[in-house]
Amino acid sequence: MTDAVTNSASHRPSALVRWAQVLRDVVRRPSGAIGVFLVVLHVIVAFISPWIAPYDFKTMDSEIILAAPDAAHWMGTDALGRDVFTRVLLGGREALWVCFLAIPLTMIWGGLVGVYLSLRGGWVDEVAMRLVDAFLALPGILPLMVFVFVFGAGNEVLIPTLAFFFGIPVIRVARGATHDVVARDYVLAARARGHSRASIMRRELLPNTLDVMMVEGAMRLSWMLLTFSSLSFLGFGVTPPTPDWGQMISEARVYMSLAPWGVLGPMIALSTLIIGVNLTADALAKTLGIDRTRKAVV
Amino acid sequence: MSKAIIDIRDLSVGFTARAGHTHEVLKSVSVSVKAGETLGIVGESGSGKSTLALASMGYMKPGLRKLKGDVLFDGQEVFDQSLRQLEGLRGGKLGLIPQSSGQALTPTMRIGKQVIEALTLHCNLSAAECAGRAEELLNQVRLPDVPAIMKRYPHELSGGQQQRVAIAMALAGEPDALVLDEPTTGLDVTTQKQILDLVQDLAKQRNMAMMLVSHDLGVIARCCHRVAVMYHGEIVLEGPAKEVLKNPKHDYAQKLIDAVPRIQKVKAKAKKVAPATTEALNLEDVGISYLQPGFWEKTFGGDESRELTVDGINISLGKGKTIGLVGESGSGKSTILKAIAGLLPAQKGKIRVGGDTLLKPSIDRRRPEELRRVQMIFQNPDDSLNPRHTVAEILAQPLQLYFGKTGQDARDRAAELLETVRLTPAYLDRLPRQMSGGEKQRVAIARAFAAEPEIVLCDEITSALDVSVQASVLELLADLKTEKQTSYVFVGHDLAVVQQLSDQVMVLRHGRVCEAGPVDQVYGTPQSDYTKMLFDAVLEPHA
Repeated sequence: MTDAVTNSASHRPSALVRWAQVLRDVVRRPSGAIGVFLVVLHVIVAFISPWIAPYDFKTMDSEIILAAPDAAHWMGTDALGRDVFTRVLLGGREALWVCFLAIPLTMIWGGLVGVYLSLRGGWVDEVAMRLVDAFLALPGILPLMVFVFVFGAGNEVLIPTLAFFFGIPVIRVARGATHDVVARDYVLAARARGHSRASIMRRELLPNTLDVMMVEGAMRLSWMLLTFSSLSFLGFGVTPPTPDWGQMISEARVYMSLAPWGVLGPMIALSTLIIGVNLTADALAKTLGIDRTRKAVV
Repeated sequence: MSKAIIDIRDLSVGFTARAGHTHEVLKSVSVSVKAGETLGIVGESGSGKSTLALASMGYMKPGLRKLKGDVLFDGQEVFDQSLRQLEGLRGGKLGLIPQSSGQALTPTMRIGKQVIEALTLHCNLSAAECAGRAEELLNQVRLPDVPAIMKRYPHELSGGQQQRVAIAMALAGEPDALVLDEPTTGLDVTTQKQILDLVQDLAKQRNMAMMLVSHDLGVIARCCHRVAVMYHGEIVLEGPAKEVLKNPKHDYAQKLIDAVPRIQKVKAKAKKVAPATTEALNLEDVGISYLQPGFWEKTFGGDESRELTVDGINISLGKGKTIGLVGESGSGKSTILKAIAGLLPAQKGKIRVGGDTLLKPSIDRRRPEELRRVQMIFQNPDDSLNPRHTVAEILAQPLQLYFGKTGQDARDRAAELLETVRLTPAYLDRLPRQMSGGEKQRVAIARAFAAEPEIVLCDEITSALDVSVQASVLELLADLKTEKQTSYVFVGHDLAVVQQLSDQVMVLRHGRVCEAGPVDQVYGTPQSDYTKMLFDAVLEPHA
């Protein structure tokens, strides 16, 4: 008998196997296939761009200012005579790096607080949610700009700042998703046995809210990429001469009538990335059976 | 000689699985119902009885389709009709009374308006006539104070009243036939009896054909002329109700009928209950309110006069004994369990376990050792087992919490526990969704016994299970009681189930004790009128 106990194959796939299956199902959907392709393409380009970029991103050439695309410069050159194609290849690196680091932080802090509040309830929940409401009333990018202005635009400031502000709406979503779970009898059973709140959160609540949080994270990622680019566009993000799409669009828009290619390149790059993330998030939601239209997107 | 109103011939319904393989939900089913006749369809969950009922109205659940056969209503094939014709038929000549009318009624519309809407769809009446007719219909279903009811919203009515409104709406189109899909499931016994009486009277008055789907053999026995027993999509037995229920000529039907617990006749002279050696649980004048004192009351003291939802509960339960709590919904039986478990702190009175240990009202202030001694089993195992945890993980939780067992230790003990609930260690790595309802409830029972408790609180633990599964779970509980000398507090709405397991009974009504005593005494010679009424309302297939 003990053999049967110790050697029986597990009926539940390990977390890794499960997410591999989910990914496979995501890719099987047309939207998921396109989305994952776009995201993977951008990530690969971001990784290898320093080696494949045809020119140096900061070398200026006064001879070819605002030159039209040709065989040597596929996307033309910008106002300082730098190769636009090189800068487009490199321009997503900062955005991806910062956002890919900030999103897990966002989901962890927002998720944990949301799940805790849902379980805790009472006045703590009440007060915290009114604070969340107050934060949500602020126009998104404004507090970010204040932080960056005060503490500087380095990644060590940007990552926690983005994670903090993006985590606040996540609190609301996590709390909502947990509400469905908290009402279930297995949570009541765990409380009746006398498990601590931390143990109930870890064992009963988090595994059952993970799917919602994954989808939410993918959605937030696309928003965060857009926000990051907006900050750069407004001059609060990446410091020149490091190339960044938002910043490139901002610089090139002055010459839009003369040299539209300067705006077009980074714009296409940025939109394909965001569309890719959105499509992936959408396919992920459908695969996991989460109806995003029903959840308030705040 | 009246002809069949609903006539289903050789009907097969199925869905196509991924590999192109067709799975049949109904297999060549033939039934017919004549005017003035009631056909009962019984079977356990998944037997296809609801699919059959809906198919008779020309409706299929998404994904299902008709494979072969005919569904005739008044001689016409239902599935050949256009959507427009079907709309006229459904709710017109063919009415449906669904299981939970609370959900079938539009929550934002007043009752009167909903009934009038049903009337305008199916009759050519002026607005004024409709209002008059609506009132008439609601009177017919014996709702009190109809003008007032018409102004109310569905949530302001009780479950029984909602069901009456649904019946009135089904009658709006002057139907020739009614399809009733578990019409009284979820209602209290007394309400159930009233609704069934009403439906039967109406059927007689209007000479309607009725198709009554139910898992409850008592309901079927009371109402039906003929009965069809379904099993795995087939009708295994069909015949006059008396014959089918008294001596079924089919193994499965026999088993199904035998599994229904029945109230045992008790000899007038109740046998003496041996005095309990040691006391396991004692409740002294416990009072509970659902309105817990808020921050304001706690800090500044407050309203002492707050009315208690449940009050004056005294229980003395011996080791290895069972007390059954019965009463209609809202009588406070589950509330008492929650108070004992500490989930809903009692405002008044004392709760003691093992004769000496006084439990704090709130769970947050009880010590783990005190918590271990009282365990709870919930009504629905689908809800009480975490869908993401394997059985081994589910059972490991109390083992780790109370005994510090982890890893292989916990796994070995979990395997032992599975054997005590008559499951094999092969279940250790299963997820709840890979088990049947009965198996899941066994796991839930194993989880409660993992704590080696002195008292187990059972909250309607068999009401979500099929009768045959219920019988085996009850047997298991009885065995465990003798093996481990555990005491049960058993909440149930099925009087026969409670009798089977209990030594004492407490009948509750509106949060107060109506009658309490040894089970033989209460069941043999009930004292209060309310208890007598409860017993009268019980429907038995064998009667």
